[in-house]
Amino acid sequence: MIRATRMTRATRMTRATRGARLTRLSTLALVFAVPVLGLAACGSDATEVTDPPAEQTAHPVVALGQARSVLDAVESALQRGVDPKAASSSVDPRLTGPYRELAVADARIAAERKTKVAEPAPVQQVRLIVPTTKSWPRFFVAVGTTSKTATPVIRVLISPTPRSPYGLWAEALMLPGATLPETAPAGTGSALVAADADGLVATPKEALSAFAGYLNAGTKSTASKQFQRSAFSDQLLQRLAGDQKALKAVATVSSKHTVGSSEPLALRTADGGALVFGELKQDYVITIKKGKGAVDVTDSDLAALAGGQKKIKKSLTRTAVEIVVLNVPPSGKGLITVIGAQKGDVKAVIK
Amino acid sequence: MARLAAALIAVVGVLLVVAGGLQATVFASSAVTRAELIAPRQSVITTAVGLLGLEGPRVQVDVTDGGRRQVFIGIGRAGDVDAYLAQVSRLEVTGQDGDGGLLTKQIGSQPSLPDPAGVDIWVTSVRGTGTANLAWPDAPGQWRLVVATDGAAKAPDDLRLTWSGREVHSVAPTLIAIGLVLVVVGLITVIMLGSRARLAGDS
Repeated sequence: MIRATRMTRATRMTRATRGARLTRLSTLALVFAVPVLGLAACGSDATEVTDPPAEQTAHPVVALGQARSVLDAVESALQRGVDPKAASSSVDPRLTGPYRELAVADARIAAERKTKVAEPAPVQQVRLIVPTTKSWPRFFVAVGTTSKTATPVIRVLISPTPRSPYGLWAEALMLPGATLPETAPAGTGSALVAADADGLVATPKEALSAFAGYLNAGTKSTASKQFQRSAFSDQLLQRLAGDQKALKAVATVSSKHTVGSSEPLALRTADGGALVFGELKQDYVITIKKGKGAVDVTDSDLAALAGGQKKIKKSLTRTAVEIVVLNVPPSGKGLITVIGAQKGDVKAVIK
Repeated sequence: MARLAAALIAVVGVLLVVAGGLQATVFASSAVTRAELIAPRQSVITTAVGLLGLEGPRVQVDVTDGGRRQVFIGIGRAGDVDAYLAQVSRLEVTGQDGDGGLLTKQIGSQPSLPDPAGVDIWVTSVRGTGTANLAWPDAPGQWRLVVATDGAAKAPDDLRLTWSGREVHSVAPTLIAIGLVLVVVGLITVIMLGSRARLAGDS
C-alpha cells in the first residue's frame, strides 16, 4: 500500500516534469518559427557596391578585339580617301600625323595630274605589338602583308587623348631582309620606353637624331658608326650624290634631314632593347648657278606638287616626310638596325 | 497541458513545412536579378566598378529609347572610362534596390562629352537605333559600363540590367526537414500521452 502510494507520486512528478519540458519546447519552437516564417516571406535584398581603389597595373592599351575595330575603321578611312581641297585639319581623324601629311600631298598630286590616288591594298594582319600604359598619348603597331608590297608594312596607330580615336600615324615598309625583334605577346603587352631612356646603345631620341646625322653626313661620319648599313640610307645617300654629280655644272644640290616635331615612340623588345618609331623631315634644295639656265623637272609628281611647274629657273625646295623604324639594342649589344622606312614628298616650291 | 504543448509543437512543425514550401516556390530566391532605370535626366549613365558582377557572373544590358534615337552601350577598363568621362555630369549606377530599381548617384558637372561611339576605349560596344543590347561575362579587372546617345543629348529612356548565373542557396530543405521532425515528434507525443491517459483512466 505504501509502495503503491510512492509509485503514484513518482508518476505524477514525471508527468509534471514532462509537461513542463514540452511547454518549454513548444515555446522554443514558436520563438524559432516566427522569425523563420517572417524571413520566408521576405523578397530579395538591396545590394550596392562602392568603387575600390584604382588599379595600379598598366594593361595593354588595346585588347585584340579593340585593335581589330580600330584597324577596320582605319581601313575604311583609307578606302574613302582624302579630299585634295580639304584643309589638313578636316581630314578623317583616322588619318593623322605624318601619314595625313603624305595622304593630303598624294591627293593634291592626283588632283593636279587629273588622276586618281591608287587605292591602298587591304593589309592582312600578321602581328600586333601593343604597349602597356595607363596614360595618353597611346599607340600600338600592326604588321601585315599586302598584295602590292614585296615586304610587310608596319602601321603605327596613335590616340593622342582619351577622347580621340586611334589614327594611322605612319606606315613604313619593312626593308628587304630585315626582321622584327621579339616583343611580348599583344595580350600581355610590351613596356613603353621613354624617349630619353638609358640602358640602350642610344636613347630613342638620340638614335633618331643620330640617324638624321648619318643621312646628313654620310657613311664616313661618326653618327654612321652606330648603325648597320641599310638599303634606305644607302639609297638616300646615293640619290643625293647622283644628283650632285649630274647637276654639278648648272646647280648646287643640298639635303638636310632633321628630327620631326613629334617625340619618337618606343617600346621594349624581348632582348631588353627598344623598337623605335620616329619621324624625320628632309629639305632637299637645288639652286641654279647664276647664268647657267634652267633644269627640267622630270618627276611628274614633283611638278604636280609644285603646282604644275616643270622648269627650275632659280631653285627647287622639296620637303619630304620620312618614317623610320629602328631596332636599338641594349648597351654594348651591337649596332642600331633600320628595320623599316617610308619617305614621301609633302611640299615642293619651284622658282 | 503536456498534450497541448505537444500539439503546439506539431502545429509549429506544420508551419515550418509550409514556410519551407513557400520558400521553395513562391518566395524562391531567383538566379536571375533584374533592375531598371527609367527616364534618367543626364546625358551619360555609367556604372560603379563591380556593378557588372553584382548579382551574378553574367549581365545582360538592354537599352531602349522611345524617341528612336541612336543609343550607345560600351564597356571599358575603369581607368580608361574615367579618363574619357573626366568631369562630365553623369548618373552612376551603384546597386539595385531589391524592388526592381537601380540605385544611382550624381557625379560631375560638365554638360557634355564627345560622342562615345567616336572613341576607342571600349573593349566591347554596340550602337543601335532606338534599342541596343549587350551581354557581358564578368572578367577579371575593373570595368565600367557607359550608356548614352551622342554624349550631349539626354541618355536613352530606359536601361535594364539582368544578372544571371548566380549560385542560389535556399533554406527551404532545412525548414521542411525541421518542420517534419517537429510534426512527427509532436504527433507521437500527443498519441503516447493520449494512450497513457486512457490506460491510467482504465486502471
